[in-house]
Amino acid sequence: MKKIIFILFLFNFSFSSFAQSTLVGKIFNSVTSEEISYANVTLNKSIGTTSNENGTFRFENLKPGDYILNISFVGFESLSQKIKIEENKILEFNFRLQPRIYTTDDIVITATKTENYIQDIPTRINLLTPRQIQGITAQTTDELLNNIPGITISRSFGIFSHKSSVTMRGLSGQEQARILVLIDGVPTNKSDGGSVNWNLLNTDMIERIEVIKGPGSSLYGSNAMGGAINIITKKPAEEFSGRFSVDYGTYNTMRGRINLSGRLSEIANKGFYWNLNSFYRQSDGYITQSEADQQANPYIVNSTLQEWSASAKLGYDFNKNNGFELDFIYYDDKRETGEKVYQPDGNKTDHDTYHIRARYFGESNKLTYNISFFYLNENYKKVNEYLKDDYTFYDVLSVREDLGALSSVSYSLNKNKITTGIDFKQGAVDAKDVYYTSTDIVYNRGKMNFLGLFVQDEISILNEKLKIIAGLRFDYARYFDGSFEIENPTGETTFMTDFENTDMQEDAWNALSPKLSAQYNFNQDFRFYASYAKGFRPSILDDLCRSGRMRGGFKLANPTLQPEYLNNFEIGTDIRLFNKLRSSATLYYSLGTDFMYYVNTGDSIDMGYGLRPIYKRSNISEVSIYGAEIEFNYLLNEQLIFNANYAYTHSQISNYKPLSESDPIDLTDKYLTDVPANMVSLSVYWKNRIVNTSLTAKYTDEMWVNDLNQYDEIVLDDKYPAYTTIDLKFSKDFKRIFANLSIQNILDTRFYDSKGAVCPGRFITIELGTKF
Amino acid sequence: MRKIYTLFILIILFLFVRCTKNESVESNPFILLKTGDAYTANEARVPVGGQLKFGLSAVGDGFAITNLTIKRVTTSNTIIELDKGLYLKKGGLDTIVIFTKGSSETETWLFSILNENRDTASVSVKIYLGEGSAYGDINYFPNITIAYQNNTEFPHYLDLHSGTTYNETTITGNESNIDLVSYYYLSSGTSSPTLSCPGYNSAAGYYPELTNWTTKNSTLYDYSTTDNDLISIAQFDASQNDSLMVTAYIPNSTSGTCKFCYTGKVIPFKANNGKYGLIKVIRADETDTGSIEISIKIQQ
Repeated sequence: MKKIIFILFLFNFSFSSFAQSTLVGKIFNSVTSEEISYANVTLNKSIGTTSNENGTFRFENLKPGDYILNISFVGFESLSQKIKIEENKILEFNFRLQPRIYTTDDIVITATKTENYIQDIPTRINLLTPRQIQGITAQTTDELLNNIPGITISRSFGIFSHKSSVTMRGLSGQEQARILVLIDGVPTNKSDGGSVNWNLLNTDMIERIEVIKGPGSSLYGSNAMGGAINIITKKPAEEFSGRFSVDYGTYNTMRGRINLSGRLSEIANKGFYWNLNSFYRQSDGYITQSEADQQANPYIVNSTLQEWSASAKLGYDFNKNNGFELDFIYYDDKRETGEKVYQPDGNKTDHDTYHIRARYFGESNKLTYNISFFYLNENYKKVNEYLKDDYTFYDVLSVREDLGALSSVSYSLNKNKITTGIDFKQGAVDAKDVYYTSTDIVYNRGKMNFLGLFVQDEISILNEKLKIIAGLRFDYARYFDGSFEIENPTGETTFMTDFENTDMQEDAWNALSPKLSAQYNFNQDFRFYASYAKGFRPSILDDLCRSGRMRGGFKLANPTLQPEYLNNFEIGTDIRLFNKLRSSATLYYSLGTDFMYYVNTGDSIDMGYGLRPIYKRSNISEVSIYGAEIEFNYLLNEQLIFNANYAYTHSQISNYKPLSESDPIDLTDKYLTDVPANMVSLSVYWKNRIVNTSLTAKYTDEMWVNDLNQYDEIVLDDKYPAYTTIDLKFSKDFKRIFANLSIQNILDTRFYDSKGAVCPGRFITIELGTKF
Repeated sequence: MRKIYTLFILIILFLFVRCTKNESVESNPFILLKTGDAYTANEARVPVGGQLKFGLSAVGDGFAITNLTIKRVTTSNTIIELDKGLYLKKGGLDTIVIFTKGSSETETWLFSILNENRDTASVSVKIYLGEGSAYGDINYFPNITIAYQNNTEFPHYLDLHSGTTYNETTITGNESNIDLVSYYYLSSGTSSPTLSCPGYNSAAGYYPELTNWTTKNSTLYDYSTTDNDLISIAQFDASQNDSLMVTAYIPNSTSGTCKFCYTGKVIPFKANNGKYGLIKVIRADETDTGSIEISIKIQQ
C-alpha cells in the first residue's frame, strides 16, 4: 500500500513540476456585454470546467503547448479558439460569445401557449416550416403531415374522400377525436364525431404546422389526449401581394386557387391587414370500390368531387405585440360516393362549413394575453340510395355546431413564466335521417358543454440549462338534451323503436390533467428530456345519442359513457453533429384506461336482413402502447436537405373487461386496428437553379383490419398489406411565373382503407401560376 | 386604384357565398283500385284460401312514387303484406297484386303510396269471409339439385313454378323464368348455404351474367320463419294444398336472399308473380364447389 501511495506521489510531483502555467478567461455576451455564467469550457476536449457567476473560468497547472479552447452555452454560437500556453505564465483572455440568431422557423407556440424556441420545450414537437411545406407533394392539409414520424393518416382514396383521420403514436387511425386539431389556435374537432375537415383550407394559406406529440390535455383539455396539431395561417407582410394558380391532373382533376393580401399601413406591425383566399376544385374521379363490390353491384359509378372554399382575414396591429384579428372561412363540397340508382347524382355527401374566429392579443410589461372567440358550423347532407330487394332512398341531414371562447394570460416572474387561462366550449348536433321510400324519420340530438381552467409554470434554472414545465388543467364536461326518436316507423326502422329515448339522462364529468416535463441542455447541441402527461377525452356526441346501423351490426347509443384517459411517459434526446446533422430520438409508453370500444352486448337485432349483433360503445379496455421515433435531418447547405425518420409502435389491448357475462368476445391481447407497427420515411429537397426537386418515400407496415384481429370478408385478409409510396415534385420560378409538377404514388401502389375503398393510385398534377 | 380593385374582388368573392333556402312544395298524389270482373270487389265475400286480386293505379303528382304499402287489417291484428320502396317517376304505378283470404270474418285492405315529396295517398276495401274453403292445389317437386357458384356439375338456375333447372347453355332465352340461384359463402365468419334470386343485387357478385339479364325475377324468402324453424319437415311433408304455404309466409321479415339454409330447414317464399311456396333443404354442402338439394311445394 505504501508503494502505491509513493508512486502516486511521484506522478503528482512530476505532473506539477512540468505544468506551472495558468489560463484565466472571462466570458461576455457580445451584444449586451453581460457576463455569462456556467458556460461550458474545454481544452482539447479533454479537460473542462464551467464559468463561475462572474463569467470567469480558470485552468491551472497547464503544460506548455498549443491548445484548442471550446466555449459553448445555450442560446449562443459556440466559440472555438487556438491558444498557446507558455511555461510558467498566467494568461488572461476575454471571450465574447455571439447570441445565436434564431429564425421564426425555430419558434413554436402550441406546446406551452407561449412563444418558445422549439429546443427549449421538453416535449417532442415536429414543426413544418414554410420551406418544408413548399417541398411537400400534397393535395390537402393532412397530406402535409404524412412524413412526420409516428403520424398515421387514414385517407386512402385521396381528395375524393372527405373524411380523413390524422392520428399518432399508436392510437387507432379511425379515431380523429383523440388528436386535437387547431387552426390558428382554435379547435376544429367537431363535438359530434370528433372529425376534422382537412379539406377546409387552401394549402397556400398555411404558414406552418406545429405537431405536439403526446397528451396536451394539461393545456387544451379534451381531444388533445393523444397530441395536438396546430395549423397556423399566413399573416400578410407586404402592402399588396397575390398569388393565382391553376392545376390539372389525373382523373380530369382541375383546380384554381387565388390568394390576395395586403397591409394598409406602410409602418411594419401597425395598422390594418387583410387576406382573401379561395379555391375551387373538381374531378371526374374513379371507382373506389373493390372489384368484388363492382361485380356484386351494377349501380357502382365513379366517386367524383366538387369543392370550393373562400376565406377572409382582417386584422389590426396596434403595435408588434398587440392586435386584433377576425377570420371567416366558408367551405362547400359535393362528393358523389360511387353508387347511383335513380337520383341524378346518386349517393353523395355535401358539407357546408363556416368557421368564424375573433382574436385579441396583447402584451404589456411582463404580461401577455390572448382571447379568442370561435363559431364552427357544419351542415352535413348525405344522400343514400340502393336497390336490393326493393329501393331505399333517404337523406341524412345533420347540423353540427361548436362555439366557445379561449383565453390565456402569461406572466414572467424571475425564472418563471406562469400561464393561466379559462376555456369554454359548447358542442351540439341536431340530426335526422329522412326516408323518401317510407314514412320514417329518425332524429338524434345532443349537446355538450366544456369548461376548463389551467395553469402552467415554465421554470428555467441553471442559466437556462434546466427547463421544467409543470401544468395542471381541470375540466368539467356536461352532456345534456340528448334524444333519439323515430317518427312514423316502418320496416326500415321498426327494429330501432325499442331504443327510443327522448329524454336521455344528463351526465357530467370532471378530469384533472397534469403534466410534468423537464429537460437538461448539456450544451446547445445536446439535450435530454423526460416527460409525464395525462390526457383525457369524453365521448363524442354521436356515441352518446345516436343509435343506428354500423358495419357488421347495430350500434346502440350509450349516454352513460365515461371519459377515457391516457397516461404517457416519454424520454427523448436531440443531438446536433457537425453543425449540420440534427438527430432526435424518443421513447414513449402510454397506458390508456377506460378506453372506449365497441362491445358486443350479447343481444341481436333483425335490421331487415336477419339477426345482427348489437354493439355499444363502452369503457371496457386498458390499452398499452409503446414505441420509438428516430429522426435525422441533414442540411448539406441551404439548398440540399435530407430527412430520414423511423417510427415503431406497439398498440395492444392489455385488459378487456366484458360488458356483461353474455359478451362472447375477449379482446385481451388483441392489437388496435389501423396502426402500422413500422413506418419509415425518407425525403430529400434540393433547391437549385434549374428546377427545385423534392423526393419522398414512405413505407407503411401492415395494419390489423378489425378488433378481433381476424379474417375480414371485405379485405379478404386479417391485415391490410404493407405498402410503399414515392412522391416526386419539381418546381420552377420564372420571376413572377411559377410551375409545379407533382407525381404522388409513382409506383401506382393500390392500397385499401377499412371500408374496402381503393386509393387513386398514381396521381399527377401540373400547376401553373403567377405571384405578384 | 389598387384598393378599389381589392374591394371589388372582395365583393365578388362574397357574392359567391351562396344562401340556400329549403322550399317546401305540397303535392297531391292519389291511388285508386281498378274495378271490373277481373278484380276482387269492395265488400266481396271470399272463402278462406280464396284468391284476392287487386288492380292498383297511382300517380305521384309531379313527384316519383317511392313506396307502396299494403296492409291487411283484421279485428285481431294488422299485417303488412307489402312495404316496397320504388322509384316510379313517369307513368305512375299500374300493377296487380294477388293475396289469399285469411280466416278472419272481416279484412280491411289498405293500399297506400308515398311520393318523393313525402306526401301520401291511400285507398281501402273490405273483404268478408265467404263460406267453405278455397285452398288451392300445389305443384310438388321432390328432388332438385342446384349448384353453388363454383360447382360445374349441376345447373345453377331454377324455375320454381315448373321445377325446371337450367345451366349456362340452356339458360339463354329463359332468363325471365328463373326464380332461384344459390351460392355459398362465409357470413361474418359463419358458414352459409344461401338461396337468392336474380333480382337481388348481391347475387350478381356470384353470377356476374345476371347484370346483363333484362328480366330479373325477385323471390322473397321468409328468413325469420326459416331461422327459427317455425315450419317442421313433417308439416312440409304432410301439406296437400296451399294452406300451409299461405299461412307460413310472414311478410314482415323477408328478403331476396336467405342465408343459413342448412340441411333440414324449411323456407317459406313468395315468387315474383305472387305464388306462395315452401322449400325443404334435403342436403346442403358447406363449400362453394358444392350444391344444395331441395324439395319444393308451390301454389299452382
